Amino acid sequence: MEVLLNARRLFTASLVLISATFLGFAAAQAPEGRIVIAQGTDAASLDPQLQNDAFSTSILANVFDTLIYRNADLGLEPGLATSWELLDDTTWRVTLREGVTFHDGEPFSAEDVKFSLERPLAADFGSPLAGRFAIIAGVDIVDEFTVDVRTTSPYPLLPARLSEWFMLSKVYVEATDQATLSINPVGTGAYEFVEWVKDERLVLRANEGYWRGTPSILDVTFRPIPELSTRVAALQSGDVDLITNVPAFRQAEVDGNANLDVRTVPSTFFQYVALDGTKNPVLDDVRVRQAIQYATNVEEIVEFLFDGAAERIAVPLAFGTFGLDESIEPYPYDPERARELLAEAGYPDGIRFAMDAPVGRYAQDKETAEALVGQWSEVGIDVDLNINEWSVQLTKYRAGTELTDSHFMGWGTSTFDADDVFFGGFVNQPTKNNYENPELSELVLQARTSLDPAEREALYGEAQRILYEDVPWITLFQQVDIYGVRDDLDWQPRPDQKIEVFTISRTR
Amino acid sequence: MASLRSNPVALVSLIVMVAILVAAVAAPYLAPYDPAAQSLRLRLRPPAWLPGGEPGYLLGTDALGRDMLTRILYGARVSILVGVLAVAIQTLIGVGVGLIAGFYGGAIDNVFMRIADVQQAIPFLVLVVAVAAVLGPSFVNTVLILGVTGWVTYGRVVRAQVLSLVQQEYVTASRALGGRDWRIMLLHLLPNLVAPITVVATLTISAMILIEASLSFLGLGVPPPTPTWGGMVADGRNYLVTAWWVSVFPGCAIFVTVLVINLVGDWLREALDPTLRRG
Repeated sequence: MEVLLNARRLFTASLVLISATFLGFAAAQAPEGRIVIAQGTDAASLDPQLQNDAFSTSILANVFDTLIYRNADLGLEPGLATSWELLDDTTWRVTLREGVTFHDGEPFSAEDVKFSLERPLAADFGSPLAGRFAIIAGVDIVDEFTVDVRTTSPYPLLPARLSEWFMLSKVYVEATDQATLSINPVGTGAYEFVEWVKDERLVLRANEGYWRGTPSILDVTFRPIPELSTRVAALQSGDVDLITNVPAFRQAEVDGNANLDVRTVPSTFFQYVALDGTKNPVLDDVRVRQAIQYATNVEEIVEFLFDGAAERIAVPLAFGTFGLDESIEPYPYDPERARELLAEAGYPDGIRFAMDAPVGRYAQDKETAEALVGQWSEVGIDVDLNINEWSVQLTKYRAGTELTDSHFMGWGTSTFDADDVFFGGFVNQPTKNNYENPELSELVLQARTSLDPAEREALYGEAQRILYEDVPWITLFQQVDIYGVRDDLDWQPRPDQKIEVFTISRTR
Repeated sequence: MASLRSNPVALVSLIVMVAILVAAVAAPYLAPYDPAAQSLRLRLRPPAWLPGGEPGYLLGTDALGRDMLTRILYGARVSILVGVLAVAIQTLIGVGVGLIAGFYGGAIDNVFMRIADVQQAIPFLVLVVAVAAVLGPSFVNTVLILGVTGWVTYGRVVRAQVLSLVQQEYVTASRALGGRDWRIMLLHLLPNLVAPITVVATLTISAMILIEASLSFLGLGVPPPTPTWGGMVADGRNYLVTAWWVSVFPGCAIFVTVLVINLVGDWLREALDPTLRRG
């Protein structure tokens, strides 16, 4: 219990105190040197509007900018927009930064904003972000550096959304075919795209005319290394300078190396198992879903698989998210209660269903999935486990229909608001776990369009109680992200897993 | 079988092979735990004789706190069963094709042997991995893939043997007496094929066990939670620095099993081949 309390304290303290790594972009001298970053997986697409996974976003955040910038303290500050204000309930006036150019030399202007925000709305474009963009009714150009963004209903989260949507070049995108766009991005960001050899390396080079100032590091290479041990070995041997998801059990070893450092940050990502009652009728029964949650011993996984570096969650919301009701206690681990519920539901001999789980994406994802299967088997819940490479899991997840009865995934919020998970996970994208609950949808839609924070918080409170009782997702934990770096890197990780190279500099 | 006494290596190999077989068959009685029983608080414990080892876990535990010894014993069942069943399917197809091709010759022979050529032109492991990736990992798929793709060696060996056997007088005699084709094939040719088939089968079982281990290592073989040696080696990769036993013991199991089967196969080849038989 002490471990848990400490973890909790660490979490709260860190969320408050994530110190402002003051963005070191004002470096006056010419960029030099090179950094190699190893993530667990490769980018899915380099068209920012055809991807929605954190590792792709992490790479793209170096090539593209957003109108509003979410800083390391999770606060919003000007990006490509210098100011924004609400004109009426559904219209936001955004003033743009002047003098910014894309990597191909084209100037950035209101045309590009209108184009970038309206492009994903086209039904035939098939953007996985279409659901999020759907709130945009249209963009009106006021003058060259001013736009009015209209939303279909009052939408208090627009600034938060504008902090995750990358700005594309209208001229470049319109003149280029989709196949090229997916492998050759042109943005306004701190780094220009150089080359991408899929599953091997993605190379970027400093944009010396970057509007924030010249970055300090010249060359950046992202290398996908799915295997934990290979990733750690690559860091130890000096092949790479920064790796993601150091497993908790290797943390001390990496930290003990004289040239290496471990940097940690409480992640905004949490893990869950979505249950799909339409694919397996057994999972349609709320008693069965509750039984699975009761049979899940999250504390054991957190304590022994993650050495305490994770935090149990009760509802599908990360700590620090607006709308989270922290008074809700997680389901206790109670295998007896799980057996009773299964028997009540008419399955005294247990149940069987299939589960998809990724390998290489999240810290110890395969081990976590196997541990869950082992725990559930103790109460007679048999799971046919499919361990998928991340690209396969992501393809299945996007298509929805190809997923089996349940899937193990992580969700990272980008708006730090309950709307992100509740709308995206349960209302707008029902194909992924095919959960439909009119009462919940009503609450979420109402909260989405309300401009009164107190009312929104109350609505989300109710929504959480429904999710807690109905258990469409088995909620697990929110982890601490552990990075391994060369100790001469001046860099602090962000809770949203973005690696912004322009904030990195070398101390020697 | 007299040569066994003069060949101590073969004798030891045979004894070890039988022991592995018995261990696989009797795994539920020999294994101290359920192979799926996990205990996260006992994860990655070293073998019992090392500092930090738990007395009840002779070969230590894996990343989920499952007993290594138990899983290696159960893993033997998968490896051996896949090996034997795959070889059985190969034999069935290979012998059938070889008999027909060798016996009838001509166009039929040509067609079968060209199919064999085509199949041999594709690297075996690449073919197996490709098919496994398409069909998806499962026990039945693994057996079928290995069985169906591996018949060529049998086909060629049997055909060559049959080509020389059909020239024998007793085959001509049987024909003269009005013996039907299938009767000649099954009663006169097949018995003469048992020795070479046995030798090829023994030697390919070990190859099949290795390939099954490779497939499981790549995550394309028998899926978890069923314990497989290849899968266990793969699981242990992440822990090689901190917990070597998770990979090393199943690796040793693969090594020893394949080695003894090969040694026994070599001895069988010598014992059954009249030209190699000593005085």
